[in-house]
Amino acid sequence: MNSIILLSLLTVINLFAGFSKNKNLSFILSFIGIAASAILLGILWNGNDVTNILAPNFINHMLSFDNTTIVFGVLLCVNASLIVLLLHSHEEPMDIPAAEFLTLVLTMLVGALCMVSYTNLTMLFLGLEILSISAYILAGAKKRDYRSNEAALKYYLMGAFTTGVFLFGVALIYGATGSFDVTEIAKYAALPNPQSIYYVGIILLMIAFAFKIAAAPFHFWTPDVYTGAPTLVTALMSTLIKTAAIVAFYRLFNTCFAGATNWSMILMIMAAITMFIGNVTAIVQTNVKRMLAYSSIAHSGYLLFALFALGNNSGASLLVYMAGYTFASILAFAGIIVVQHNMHSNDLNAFNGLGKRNPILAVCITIAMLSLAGIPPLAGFFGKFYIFTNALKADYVAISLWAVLMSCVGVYYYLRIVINMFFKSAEPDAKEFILPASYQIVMGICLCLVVLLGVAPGILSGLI
Amino acid sequence: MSTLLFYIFSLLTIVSAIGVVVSKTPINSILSLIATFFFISCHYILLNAQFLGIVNMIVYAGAIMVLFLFTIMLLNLNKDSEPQHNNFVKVSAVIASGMLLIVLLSAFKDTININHNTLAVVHTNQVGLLQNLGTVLFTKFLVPFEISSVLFIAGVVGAVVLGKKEIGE
Repeated sequence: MNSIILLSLLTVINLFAGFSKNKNLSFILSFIGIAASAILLGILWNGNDVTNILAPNFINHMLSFDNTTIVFGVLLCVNASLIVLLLHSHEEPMDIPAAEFLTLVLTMLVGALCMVSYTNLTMLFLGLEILSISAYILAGAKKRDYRSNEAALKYYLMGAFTTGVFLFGVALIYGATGSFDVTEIAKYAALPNPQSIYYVGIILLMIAFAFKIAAAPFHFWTPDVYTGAPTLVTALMSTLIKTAAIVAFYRLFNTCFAGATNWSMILMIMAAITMFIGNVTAIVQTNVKRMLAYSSIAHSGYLLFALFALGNNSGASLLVYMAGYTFASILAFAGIIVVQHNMHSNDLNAFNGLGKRNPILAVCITIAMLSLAGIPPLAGFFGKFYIFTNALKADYVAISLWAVLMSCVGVYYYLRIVINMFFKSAEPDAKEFILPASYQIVMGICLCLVVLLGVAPGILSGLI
Repeated sequence: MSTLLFYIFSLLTIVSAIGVVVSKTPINSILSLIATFFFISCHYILLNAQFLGIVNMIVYAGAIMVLFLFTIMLLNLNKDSEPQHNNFVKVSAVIASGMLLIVLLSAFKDTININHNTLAVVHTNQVGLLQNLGTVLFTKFLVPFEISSVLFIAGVVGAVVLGKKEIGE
């Protein structure tokens, strides 16, 4: 709770820091704030909740910080701080000032933390809305860019509609169970004959979450929004929002609806379709950002495995997967930003001959792509490995085979960009790319983490 | 008496909601929407939620509707600017919403058999009073109440940064 209070206060302070002559002030404030909130979360490890400054019984109805929450919360904080670092030497023209941008990143983080720690559906709804509203605005951060406007509007209209669906689901579940509290809902779910409106409520919640994590058939906004939004915001959307949404999804279904699992069939079909659409459509894309958007859809399919094959290890496998995906994605998007700045294009051909012009950058992008494709011994492999093993243990053989097949399809388009970088020659007048300092730091951190989590995934999976 | 009122208000709500969808001119649509909100507020009052009813009327039937009317007048809608709908979209929309209708109808059909004592709503005539609402808002729902301020900050920041005139425009 303290971390949420800190970040909320910081959003306001940050706006005032924007008046300062010192351009670095708001960056430093945000970075320190996010780091401090990660520490405040870490203090609560193993229920060591001694630092609450508000009367705890009001909070305990709304938020709870168990170890799963804390790990994911810290992951979100690390994710946000990496994005803040990237923004510091951001070269893509952004039409909104840095202080406001950072404020929106901080509000996003507040929403995300509410979504991983809620025990009451009102908090989940508020978290979801805070996260989404900030994301709608950030998607339109390039005000003079037609594509960015389109992305913001499309995301906003679709998202507002999904909010309606979500609220309708919550209302129906409230009607059946008489409570917003997840423990009360879980008690009702354990009863023998739930009402039909309860099931309809679950389905509607499922639709809303599927939209947020971009799972088929609710993925239609993803390619346009991811391509149109500024690349840094795309990185934020495909990592932070996805983590928050999938964890909220997991928490809800793990705590409330785990008793009666007749919804798992729907999720399984959804996962199968999502993996197919994501991976197969990504093959024909020539725009790298758009390709990563489809890849992000495909990854949602793998993430759904942790939900329909719910087990004791689901949380741990979700964590390993999400951590690997987050760091690899940030690495890839950072690379794309640099290439985009130098070549003024996101096209696959813009990456031609990058292996000669900036070998380090090319190696970074290659590692990110290999990790996303799930090649051992990188982090992405172990994420997939844990998730598929869990599914196989729970006797989901056919869907696991399908997922492995789809992963193989995925390898093709991830490797295409690697081939372009190393085996195609660049235009003759090409100059060497320069990596700004903060990019070097972020890409170094991500690279280390992707390799480290690949070599020793037990560091994370042992935590929860 | 209240059952009779419920049926009257429900009928009026549904009729005006259909009016929103079928009327050709946007202004008529909006006026029907105001009527819909008004009758929904009547439902709130029937449920003893007087404060919510009044707020719903002020905020939706008042403020938001005026906003809607302004927008529509500023947009200057005419036949040319109407979006084109192709038949494929129409057919798929009909199928999808028809399926949703079937699911909802079959789900709500079951609610007839519910034992009314197990229903979620605690039906006393005190429940919607401002004092009770305030007490709940500042005790049990204190955290959501405070967190919603972050939502407003995000909204305000967004409105300012997106709506602000840049230098040179």
